[in-house]
Amino acid sequence: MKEISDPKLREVLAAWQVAPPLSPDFKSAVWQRIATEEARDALGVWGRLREWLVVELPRPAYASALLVLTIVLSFTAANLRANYQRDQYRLESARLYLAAINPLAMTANSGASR
Amino acid sequence: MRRLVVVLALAVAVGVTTYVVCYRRAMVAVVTPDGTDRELGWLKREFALAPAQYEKVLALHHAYRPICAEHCTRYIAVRRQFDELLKNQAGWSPAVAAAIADQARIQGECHASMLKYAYDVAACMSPEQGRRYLDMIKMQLTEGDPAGMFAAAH
Repeated sequence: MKEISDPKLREVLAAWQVAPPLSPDFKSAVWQRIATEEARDALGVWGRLREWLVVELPRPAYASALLVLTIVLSFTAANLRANYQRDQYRLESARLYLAAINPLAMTANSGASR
Repeated sequence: MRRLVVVLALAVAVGVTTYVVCYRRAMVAVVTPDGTDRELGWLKREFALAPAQYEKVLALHHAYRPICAEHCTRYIAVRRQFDELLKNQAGWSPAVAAAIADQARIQGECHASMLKYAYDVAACMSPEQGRRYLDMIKMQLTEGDPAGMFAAAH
């Protein structure tokens, strides 16, 4: 920083005080912010969650993320169920076929149906 | 609040649609209600039968069905005879021994005719698929269920 050599200027600068005028609603704005924070603290976890769901979730970023997540989960669930159903179908069809070509299995079936 | 409801409704709609479309697409190649018997449709897919191979297998299958039914009828008759003997006889008799021998003989004939049919069917398939098919038949005859074969395939 450059040293001020002029003693008079140094004296004036030392005596200089800045006193900007407060905006007319400064105090009320501060109290409002304090009241808002206190109200948020009073909401608790569920209240905050509800607020997040109502206020934040509908925003495009979160809404898009929710849709992508829904698609991924639905795709995974559908494929898992289809895999299971396919395996069951294969096994049941194999059993049906073997029962159809095995005379002893046919007698068991006819015995069960009597 | 209205926007939240719209987003949630959209998510549910997208989720359900994705699920239904994916599930149907995954199952469409498996369940084909094309009028053929379910087990024969499965046989065609499971052992990757070409149309010509499938025709041969189908012919063998249709030729074998009456033989199989006849074995079935004979076995039921012998089994009933055996049951009657057990109900009516208080002790051992040569008739009971003969009924047991009859049952065993017909069981043997059933197994023999099923195995012959299976070897004929396997001969219509490619060597690898024929081996798989015979493995399934053998597993059925030895273990009583082919579940192990299908579980091992995954």
